[in-house]
Parts: sequence; C-alpha cells; structure tokens
Amino acid sequence: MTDTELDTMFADLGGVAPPEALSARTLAAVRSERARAAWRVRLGAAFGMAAMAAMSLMVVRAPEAGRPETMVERGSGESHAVVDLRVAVRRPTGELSRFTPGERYAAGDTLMFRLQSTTAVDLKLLRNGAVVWEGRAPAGPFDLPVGYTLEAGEPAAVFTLEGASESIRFPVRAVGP
Amino acid sequence: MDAVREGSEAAYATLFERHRAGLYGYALRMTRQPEAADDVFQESFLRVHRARATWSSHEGSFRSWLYRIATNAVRDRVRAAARRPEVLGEAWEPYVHANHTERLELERALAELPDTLREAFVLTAVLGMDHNEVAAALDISPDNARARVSRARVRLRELLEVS
Repeated sequence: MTDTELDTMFADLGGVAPPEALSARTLAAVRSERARAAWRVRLGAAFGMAAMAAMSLMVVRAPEAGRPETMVERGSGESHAVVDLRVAVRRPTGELSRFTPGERYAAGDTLMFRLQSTTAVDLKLLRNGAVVWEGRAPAGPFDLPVGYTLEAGEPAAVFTLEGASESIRFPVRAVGP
Repeated sequence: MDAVREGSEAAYATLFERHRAGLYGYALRMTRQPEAADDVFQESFLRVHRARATWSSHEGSFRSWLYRIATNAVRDRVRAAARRPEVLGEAWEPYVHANHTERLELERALAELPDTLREAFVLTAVLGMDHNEVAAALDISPDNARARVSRARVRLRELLEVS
C-alpha cells in the first residue's frame, strides 16, 4: 500500500459532527464571555470616571488627615475575581453527568459544583436566596465540599453564586414526585 | 479572521461552523473519550475567542493555530485526568455510520498509535495539512513532522495487516 493510498483511506474518515447540544453550549459560552468582557470594559470606564470625580473633589476640598470620620474603607481587592462555575449531577447510582439547564432531574440526584477562580475569593452559593454554601474558594479549580440533593416534589429554583466580579445564576426545574 | 479579531459574532459563527467537525474529530481521536472530547472542543473554541487578538497570519495559517490550541487543550486534559485514556473502542459506535466495520478498524488502528504519531498523522491524512502546517500546529520542525507522519504510516500498515 503506497503512502497516498494509506492517507486516502484515513482521509475518508473525515471530521466528526459534534453533538448539536455541544455546539450550542460552546457558542453560548463564547457569547457569555463576550458579554462579560464588555461588562468589564464598562465597569473600568465607570471606575475611571469615578476616580476623576474623586480627584476633582480632592482639589476642591481635601479630607482632613487623622480624623476617622473622614476616612473611607475601600474595596477588599477581591471583587475582581472572575469565577467560572461548572455543575454536574450525581445520580443515586453514582453515575456523574453534566448538568443541563432545562432538563428535569429526579429526586435523589445531587448537584455537584466545581469552581475555577482567578484569585482567592469569598463566595456564597444560594438557592432561592437561602445559603447552600458559604466559604473561601482558592485561586484555581476548587470543588465545593457540599452538594445539593434534590427532593421529591421540590419546586423550580434559582441557584446563584455571589461574591465574584459578577453573579452566576442558573435555574433548576421542579423535581418530579 | 480579521473580522473575528475585531469581535464580529457572525464571523466567529462562520469560523466555528467551518472547523467544528474537524476539530471534534481530532479531539475524539486524541482523547479517545467522548466526554473529554467535549471538554477539549469547548475549551479550544473558548481559547480561540480569548486569544483572537494575538493571532497573526505571519505565524502560519489560522487552521494550524487552531489545532495548536486544540493540541494544548488535549494535553492539558490528559494531564488533568492523570491517567492514560482507554482505547476508544465501542464508544466510537455512535460516530461511525457508513462502511461500519472498515471505519471502525481504521479508528482502532489510529487509537493504537502513540500520541505524538497519532496527532501528526491525523492532522496530515484526515485533516489534509501539509508538513509546515502540522509543524506549526504541534510546535515542532517540519522535518520532525515529516518523520512522525512517516513512522505513523509504518506502524499503521503493521496494525492493518495484523487485523
């Protein structure tokens, strides 16, 4: 078999169409990054304008040094952490799969959470406003030490991760009986 | 690609459409695990989006740049898994349609190649890159690319004769 014949045989294998859900998820992730980047630019511009306004105020009336009532506590330095959240579902059988928004999960399924943060940051995971987990996530990948097990008849809920540069929200459908 | 660099969503969608099957096939053949391939696929296109401003035609074709990103994503994924992926055997079934048996045999032979030979051969034979593009995608010299492809062909002939 010549090189050309061999290559032709393998060339016929061609590409493999990815699942439509994967394509949609990938394009959605890119759109989400694009939106986040645009938001950061707007935020940067707002900070810049605020800083200029603060400087002009200082020229007009500088705060008196040494008086606590003139001192202002400023940001913690953590509000710029960019956090990605991945959610997986662990079945009662132990099988793990990706969480798919819009899919109806069953009682006994447990939502598992993996974070990826640019810096260490204090975060809160809420379910309909109630705290599911609260703690400090280190920079890099971090699996939350808790999962959330769905119960029979549980109504639809919205989970929110707060504390990063922007909140991440994802809805979970009502659980079947 | 210029429009993608300037942030055009439509241009990005066109580029995605053009390369998605090739890149997914490459990810499947390199990771041999559908779930890992999904991750590599998504991560590669996200990295392309994040790094779009850094691409320059002076560094080679867009396609070789895309596959350099994908190759790095595969290596990151395999490192993160901290174990060698299993040979993708029956898991190929959903992706193989026509000439079922023959195609499955070819996929299995490919899966038997060492990673370095498989990536070079897939880029050359399946995706139709020349040695310069393969070299740019794998960050090796064109001579090295040619040598890897040549060794892959020798090994594949042996594997196909045995089967």
